[in-house]
Parts: sequence; structure tokens; C-alpha cells
Amino acid sequence: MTTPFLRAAAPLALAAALAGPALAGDVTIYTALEDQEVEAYIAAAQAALPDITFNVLRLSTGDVGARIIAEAGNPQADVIWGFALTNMLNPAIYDQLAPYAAEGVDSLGEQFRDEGERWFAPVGYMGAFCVNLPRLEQLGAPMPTSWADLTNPAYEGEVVMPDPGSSGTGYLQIAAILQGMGEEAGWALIQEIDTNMAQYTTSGSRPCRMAQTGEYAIGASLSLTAIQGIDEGYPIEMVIPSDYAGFELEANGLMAGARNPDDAKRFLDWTLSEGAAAVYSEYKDLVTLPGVPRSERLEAAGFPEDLSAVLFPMNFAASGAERDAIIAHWRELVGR
Amino acid sequence: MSAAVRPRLSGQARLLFWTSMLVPLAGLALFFLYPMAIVVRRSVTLGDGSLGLDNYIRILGQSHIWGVLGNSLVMSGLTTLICITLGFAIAYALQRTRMPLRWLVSLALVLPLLAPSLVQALGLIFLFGRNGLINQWTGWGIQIYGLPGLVISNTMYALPQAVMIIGAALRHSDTRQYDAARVLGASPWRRFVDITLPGARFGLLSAGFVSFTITITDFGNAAVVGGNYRVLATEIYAQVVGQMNFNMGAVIGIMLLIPTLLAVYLEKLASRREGASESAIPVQPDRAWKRDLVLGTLSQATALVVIAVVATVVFASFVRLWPYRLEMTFQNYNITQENGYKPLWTSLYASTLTAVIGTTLLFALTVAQRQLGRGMAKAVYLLAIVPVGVPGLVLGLSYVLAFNTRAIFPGMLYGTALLIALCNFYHYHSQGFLTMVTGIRTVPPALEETVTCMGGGPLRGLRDAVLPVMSPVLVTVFFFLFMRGMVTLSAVIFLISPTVSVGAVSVLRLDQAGYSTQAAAFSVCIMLVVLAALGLMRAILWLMSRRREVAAAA
Amino acid sequence: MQLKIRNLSKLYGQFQALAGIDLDVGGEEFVCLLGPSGCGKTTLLRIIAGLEPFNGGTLELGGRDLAAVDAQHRGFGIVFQSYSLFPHMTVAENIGYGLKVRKVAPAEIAAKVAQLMDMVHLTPFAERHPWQLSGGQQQRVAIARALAVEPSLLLLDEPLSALDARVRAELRGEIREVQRRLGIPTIMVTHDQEEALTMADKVVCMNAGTIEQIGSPEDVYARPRTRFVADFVGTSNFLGPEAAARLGQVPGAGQGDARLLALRPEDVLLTPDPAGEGVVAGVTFLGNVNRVALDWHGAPLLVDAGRGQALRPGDRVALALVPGSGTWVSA
Repeated sequence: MTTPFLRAAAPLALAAALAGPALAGDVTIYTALEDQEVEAYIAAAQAALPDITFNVLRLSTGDVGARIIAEAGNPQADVIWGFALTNMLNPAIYDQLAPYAAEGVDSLGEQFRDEGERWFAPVGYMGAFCVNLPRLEQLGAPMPTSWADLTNPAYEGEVVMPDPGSSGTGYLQIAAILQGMGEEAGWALIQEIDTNMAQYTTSGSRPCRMAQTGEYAIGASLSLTAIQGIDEGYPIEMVIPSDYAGFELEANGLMAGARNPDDAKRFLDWTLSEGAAAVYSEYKDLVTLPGVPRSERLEAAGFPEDLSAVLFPMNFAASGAERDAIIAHWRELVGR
Repeated sequence: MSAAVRPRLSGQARLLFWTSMLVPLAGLALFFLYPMAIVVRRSVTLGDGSLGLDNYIRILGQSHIWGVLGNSLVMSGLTTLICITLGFAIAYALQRTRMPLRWLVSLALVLPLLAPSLVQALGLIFLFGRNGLINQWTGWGIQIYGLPGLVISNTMYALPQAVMIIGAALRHSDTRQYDAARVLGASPWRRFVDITLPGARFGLLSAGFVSFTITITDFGNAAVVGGNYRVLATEIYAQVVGQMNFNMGAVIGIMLLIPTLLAVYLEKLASRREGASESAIPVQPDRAWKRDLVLGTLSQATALVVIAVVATVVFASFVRLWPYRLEMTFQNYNITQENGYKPLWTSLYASTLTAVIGTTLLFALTVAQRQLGRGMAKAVYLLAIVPVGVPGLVLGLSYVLAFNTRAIFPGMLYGTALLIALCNFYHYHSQGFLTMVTGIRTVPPALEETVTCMGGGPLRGLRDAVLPVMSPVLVTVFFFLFMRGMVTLSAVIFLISPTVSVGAVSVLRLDQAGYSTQAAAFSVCIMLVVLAALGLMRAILWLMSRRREVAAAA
Repeated sequence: MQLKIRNLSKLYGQFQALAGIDLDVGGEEFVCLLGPSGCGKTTLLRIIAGLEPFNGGTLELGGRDLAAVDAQHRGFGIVFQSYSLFPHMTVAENIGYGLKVRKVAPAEIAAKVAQLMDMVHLTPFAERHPWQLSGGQQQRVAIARALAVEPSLLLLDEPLSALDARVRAELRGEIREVQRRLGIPTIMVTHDQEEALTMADKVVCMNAGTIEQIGSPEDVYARPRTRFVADFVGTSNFLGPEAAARLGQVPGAGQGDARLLALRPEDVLLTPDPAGEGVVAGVTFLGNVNRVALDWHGAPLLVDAGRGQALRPGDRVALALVPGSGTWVSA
């Protein structure tokens, strides 16, 4: 009775043994960066590191985060790349990271890297409005430049933003307002804007998508979302709110359970290299690596050379802890 | 007087029974109960790791949850009512009238099944959105976001299945009852009320049950056209994906099971064990102009809306930039991101697996459960139809939690197309099972008994008596599982890996990235692949039946 | 009220299902439409009921032309072979259905239903559902349901064919008794000639869409006019004129196109005779008689011999005609 069983089990065991340690040269990356970016960055990384095979899983921030947490019992990723810092700091994810001092990480400002050396963020994105020009013209309303502008009654029923409860982007935006104006004034502004708010969408990119197809005049999403739309040819303009431009850092980290830590570390080193920086500047507005010139768009929008002057020192850790309370309060105040 | 001695079943019969009983049940246990048990466990796991009902208390304490629950119930209730009424009207029109253009209505009903539900939502927005075609042409300020859009898109989603179920029930009427009633003096209306409606009762109930559960758990439509109308499905998404709070997500997932269980209970309560009419003479369609006018208008209008929505998506796939640059182009079909069209072929492979494995297991289970005692049979029945109440998101998540382990078994399944195939099967287990069970009721016991008395074993009985009668049902279930596998999104989004992805996810990604016309193009490709695969299967079936005919004639 | 059918015809596409049908049914007659499968008897019944249209001829009831009247308004009653009871209604509801449709007051319906259930001996089953009843009980319900509306004509489509022999025999008697009591003209379709002979006042023999003979059971049995009738009702032997002459003289030879002599098995007497012209080929024990298969001048014959006559294959027998028997029929 046992012999047939063993005969069947042997090949299985062999397969399992082979599957255990990853084939040398294979790195599994989980990322929340946009598809377009990922293609470009990986191409560059491949050129710099030809002997490594990159297996990239790309999902939206929320989906990737959920995936990482769900796999906690048996992590499948070697590296987390370009992942919203606010979510990275969630203990369920943070605790899965291993400390690693990537080459060149010292050149980043303190607020852009972890004290415990578990993460560092060479790039980020900012909250931005996508404004649909034809629709705005139809309304005969002025171009908004700030969150405060959004209270203008001319925009009634024409503004959309993400639901902070289901989207990191939405949360980022109200966190910025609250941190910038302080709690009382911040909630007051949020409530005022709510009168013009047509919808709070489930996903973070949808407000901009709706604005670009002309469903609504103003969609609050992210700078990259806006740029994608403009590049596609949609008649929209990107506006970075002059008052509280919330921003998010996209962090990289090494997974403690990585099956191929050596090659993973080489990749992480590359993300801080000059070669990487060169590609970043094509896609990113917010690059924390020193020496990378600010993008033309930001220059045109009147942003200073050193962004840290205008970007609010977002307290990401605090954002994380107070998250539940803030969402609950938001829901009570304006939730639908 | 000694107790009656029953002859023991032959060895083969016993083996067959136990295999066909245990394998599907084992599958259900491993691929449904086990993952769900993990979800239940998570729902009662508190922040510090201890067990308790705090999560439930917290969720129920959030005042907005009651509003969300109410929204879900209202939306699903409305959709169910519409699906039953409209579904009955259309099923009746297709079977009992000679209304013109019946083929058009049948075609329209197939369309929503060919592509991810995202497509209907997109199409609705392209057509009825604030900057959609209709508003642009007419200037009416149609507001599609919110309850109206949700009800319409969910109705489009559930209607084909409702029509299928009700149609099957109508098909089993016997014309002699109508003749008898007619001669007794009953008017056409009376015949409808006294014979048709009660006869279709079981089908209506079944259709209502399925409509309710699949719409209350749907997430895709709610995310795109839901607007501010929050439902439980989006709430799960918010908890799990937005706030990384699995345990809360699990709680809401369990909460969603309650309406399902209620619906199951009601259905069992109201359905009577109706024996199959062995030689029912089917009812012939007839003409009655007033009735045909009403039903015809209703059916054609519905068909028109469905076709318009899908056609808009197809149109958009050829458009340069929707809605601002309407020049036609093939550019959108040149999709290169995320492995281009490779996920589509993976979908094809996985869906075929789903269909083959699913049909076999369901058939085995259906055949075996006939021999169970009443109590056991009821238990198996309930177990088999519970999966429909679990939202795809929750099921997919449970699979990650259950199968992503270091242990060889079942860990080696993780990240494979096989696991995706299995997840899809168990997601649609209920509908497949219901259809099979309805079908096996039409097999006359006399057929199998004849084979037995002629000396044929149970396998022969299955092959020569049951299979031929059940083959249309088997084909239906096969096609159903295949099509659902090709278009399902919410369950599998957690199961894709860097190398294994499915077509529906590609569509979602493209849409999220703002390439809505490319998303439309990819959806059209999915639809074409599904149609081609169905056409191929039908051709094979036809060839097989021709071969049999030729062999018989020879 | 008299049902009058003249020259009725029915076409299914190119196929002539009925042609030249002439029939009268009146008063309190019990008429059987008798014939093999496919002869058109059910089609004719359905046409009378109004469930099928007809192509030519006239159909009148009490002088009223029925062609324009829908089945719903003819006021007849119909009982099918099986499966026509409403499965989701109780026995009482089934029987009362016709009255409910006519908007009769519930109390009256209940009374009438009770009366009918008593008539068909089903009173204890009032609250049962059809699937809880046996075949015979279901047919009784169907009959009661048809009678509840006091139809001017009762139509029965092979009502007993699906039942077992004993139940069939019982119901035969019951149906006839109920019909006589209520005095409703009735048309019953059957392929069983024994049924037709025992129950009918008038037998209508149908073959291939036409009526071959109408007459009382005795008429049709003793004096068949065509080969089909002689063969279908009971058993017959057929002899050509020369062969017939050898047996004996039977009047009526050569009249019209009557060229075959039809002889019933009981019309021939056998006596064992070593010089006889018939040779026994086989003997079948039928209980009351022995049916002897004979070889007579090369022609096979079936003749009934008494129980006492011990004949064996190979025995030679002499034949003699029973006086007054034998009929000339057309081929």
C-alpha cells in the first residue's frame, strides 16, 4: 500500500524541492507604479542588469497592498517597488520588510527614508486636479487653482474626488488639507467643497478619468493620472492645488522572505542610480533624488526648485495611525 | 415476519456511487468550505489576534453600515423584481408566441454574457453618461450614476440567466392541461393565470434567487456607475483594499451571506417536489395580437437597449479618443502593455479547465445525490448552492489566505491557472448545480431501470440512459461555466501572478489607466474569442451527432 | 341536441387526415370512434372539441354552426388519456375549475363538487393532489371535472388506455353508468374493439381518415361491410367466391363490390373426419374455446372449437358453415 504512494510522492517532493529557492537570476517584484512607467523602468533596469529576469506584478495600490498582506504567511515577492508610503507603513506590511541600506540611500533627505532602513522613496506623486477645458468653457467658470477655489458655486455638481475610505488617493487629499489647515478649518473646508461634490468614487484614478471624458469638469486625482490623460490627447489641464498639494511617496523595500535577496538588492540599488533617475524625470514630477531637475510642468506651474518648500511635511506615520478615526469622521460629516 | 431483504448494490454500483459522491464533495470541502472557514475565522479575529465578535459589533455600530445594507437590499430587490417580470415576459415571448425577430432577442440576451460586466458599465456611460452620446445628441440631463445606473447594469447582467431558468420551466408544460382548461371554458387570460403561472412558479423562484444573489454581491458595476449609492460589495472593497482591513472585510462578506441563506431557505420552503411529466406534449406557440404586441414591444425594447450598450462599446473600440476625437482607427487593438493579449489565451485555457472539471464534477454530484436519503440530500443540496452568496472578492481573497502556504499541498496550486480555474468553478457552482438538478429531473426512471434489467451496470445506465437525455443540460452547463470563466473579474484579481493573468484583469487595468478605448478593444477581443470558442464547440457537437447518425444509418 | 357533421375534411399540409366524414350524434347516445393508430379518430375528436380547425364540410350542434365558435365557448367536456389534471390544484379545485371560470358562487361550487365526487366515488380524496392518486383515480377526477359544467357533449380521448386491465374494466362500467344517468351525449375514441363493443350505442369504424361503417355493436360485428371492419372488429377469415362456394351457399355474393366472404371463427363447425378437407395446424387454448388454426385447400383458417373437442395438429377435420352466418364484404 505504501509503495504506490511513495512512487507518486517522490516526483512531487522533487518538484517542491526545485521550486523552493528561486532560480538564480529571478526577481519577483510587486509594484503599484503605472503600467507605462513600469515598462520603461524595467527596460532600463534590464539594460543595466542583463542577467536578472524581472517578474513584475502590477496592480493598483490598494489591490497590491491587500495582496501583500494576504500572502503574509508565505510571501511571494522579493521586492516591493513604488508603493504608497502611507500603506507601506501599515504594520501588516512594514513588518514583512527587511532592513537594507541600498547604495546611495544616504543621499536622500531624511524624510524620504526609513530610520530602520526598511524603506526608501526616490519618487512620489502629488495630488492634482484634472480640469476638462471644453466643459469648463461650457460652464463659463474660471480655472480653479486651489482647494479653496473648489468652493466656488459655479462648480456645483461638477467636482469629483475619490472616497477616502476606499482609495489611498482620496485619503491623501483630505489628509493634506487637514494637516495644512488644522483640524477645525480643514473639516470646514472639506464640508464646503462637499456642496459642489457630485460623487466620491471608489477608485483613485476614476475622478480624472471622468474629467477627461467630459463627464465632470473637475476631477481630483494624482499628477501622473493627469499627465497620462494629457499625453493621450484629452482636452484637460493639470492643476496642482496651490494651497495644500498633498503628496505621497512611492517607497521601495526588500521583503524579509525574499527568495532571491542578492539580485533583489541589486535591483534596489539600481532604483537609486543615475540610470534610474534619468528615466524618472520623464514620468515623475516628484523625484527626491538630488540633482534631478524639476520637471517642465512644475516649472511652468510656478513651483520652486526645491519642492520640499511647498510640499507639506506629510506626517505619513501619523496619517496611518489616525486613518480610521479620520475616515470615520469624514463619513459622518459628508458621507453619502 | 422478517424485515425485507434488499439486494446489495453490485460492487461497481457502490464504487460509482461513492466516487461520484465523494470527489465533488471533497472538491467543495477543499476549495470552498476550507477557504470560507478561514474567512470566518478572520472575521472573528480581533486586532490583537484574539477571537471575538468585536468586529461585528464595531461594524454594526457604524451608523452608515445600515444605510449601506439598506441600499444593497433595495438595489437587489428592485433588480430582482425587474428580472423576474421582464425575464418572464421575454421567456414567454420566446417560447409561446410567434412574435417576429425572436432571434434578435435571443442574440441580445447572449451579449452581456460574453464580456466582463465592466463592459456594460462602460457602455452605459458611453451612451447615457453626462457626456455620453444620448446627452450630447439630445441635451436631456440624464443622470445615470447611482441607483438607476446600478439597476440597469445589474439587470443586464442578471437578465440572461433569469430568462434561461424561466425558459426551462416553461418548456416543461403539457399542452393537454391547456386543452382541458380551454374546453372547460377558460379564457386565454385565465389559462395564463391558472396554469402557466403556477407551472412556472418554481422557475420564477429560482430565477429570483439567482438574480438577487448575483446582483447583491456584484462589485464591478457598483464601482463604475454606482456614484454615491454605496452598497455592501463596495464596502468590502473599501475595507479590504482601501483600508487593508481584512478582518472587517471578512465581516461584511459574512454579512452578505445572510440574504443568500435567507433566499435559499425561502426557495426550499416554497418549492414542491414536482414529478417530471414523462411524456409531456410541449405547448405549441400561437398568435394573439394584443398579447404579442405588448410582449413583443417589451422584449424588443430590452434587446435594443442591450444591443445599443454593447454596440457603443464596439464602436468606441475603433475610436481615436472618446468622446473628443471620433475618427476611426485600429490603433486600440494594438495592445502591448502587460503582455498584450497573452492573458486572453490564459483565460481561454483556464476557462476550458473550469468547464471540463466543473461539468464533470457537477454531473457526478447530481447523479449521486439522487440516491441519498431526504435529510442527506437536502444537506448536499444546500451546500451545493451556497457558493453563489459569496462575493467574488471575498472568495478570491479566501483563496489567497488558504492556498498561499509553504506546504506542498495545497501550496503548489498558488499562482497557477488551475487555481484560477477552480476558483471560477466554485464561484459559479450554485448556478451549474441548479441547472443540472433541474435537468436530471427530466430523466425518466424507467430508462435506467430498463438498462439495469437488461444486465447493464450503473455505468452503462449512465452512458445509455442518463447521458443522452441530459446532454442538452450538460452542454448548457459547460458553455455557461466556460463563458463565466472568460469574463469573471472580482474573484481572480487576487489570484493572478506576474506570469499568469486573465483577460478580464487586462480590461480593468486598461480602463483604470485611462485607456478606455483600448479597454473597449480588449473587451471586443474577449467577446470574439468567446463567440469563436462557442462556435467551435457547437460545430464539434454537431459533427459528433452527425457521425452517430451516419453510424446508426449504416 | 343533435351534433351533425357533414362531409368534414382536414388537411395537414399535403396529408389528408380526414375526408368525407358524415356523422350524427344525438340525444343520449354513446358513440365510439374506433380504429387503429393514425386513422384520424383523435383528430376528429379534437375538431369536434374545437381544439383544431377543419378545412371543409360543416359541423353543427342543434342547428348552430360551430365553425366560428372557439373551444372555450362550445360548452363541451373533454377527458384525455392522462396528464391533463392541474398538478398544483387539489382534487376538489380541479373538479370545480370549470365552475370557477363561469363565476359560480363558491357555495354552489362546493355542493356540485361534492355531488360529483360522490358519483365517481372519490369523496375521501377531496384535498389530495393529482400526484398522490393512482391512474384510475386521476381519470375519475378528470371525468368529474368534465361533467361539472354540465356539458352538452362529453368527449373522451382514449381515457382508459393508460390504465391496467382490471381498473379499465371497472371504469368502463362506471363511465357508462354515469353517462346514462346524466343523459349526456358522448363520443369516445378508442383503439380497443372490446371497449367499443361493450360500451357503445353506436360504433364508428374509421380507417385512414375515412369512416368505413357506422352501426350498433351487433351490426358492426355481425354485418361488417368492408374487409377492414370485419378484420378490425373481432377476427375474420376471408374467402374468395370460389372457395366460399365450396363451403356452402351464402346469399349476397357479388352484390356491388362485395367480393370477399368474411367468416368469424365461430361461424364454422368442425368435426373430426379422417377424410376431411381441413388439416389442423395448431390449437390455442382461449379459456372458453379452443382456437384452431386450419389449413384448408391451401388457405389458412381460424375456427373456434368447443372446449371438449380435443384436436391436435395433424388431425383431419370436416368443415361446415353455421347456417345464416357469413357476410360478403368489399375488399
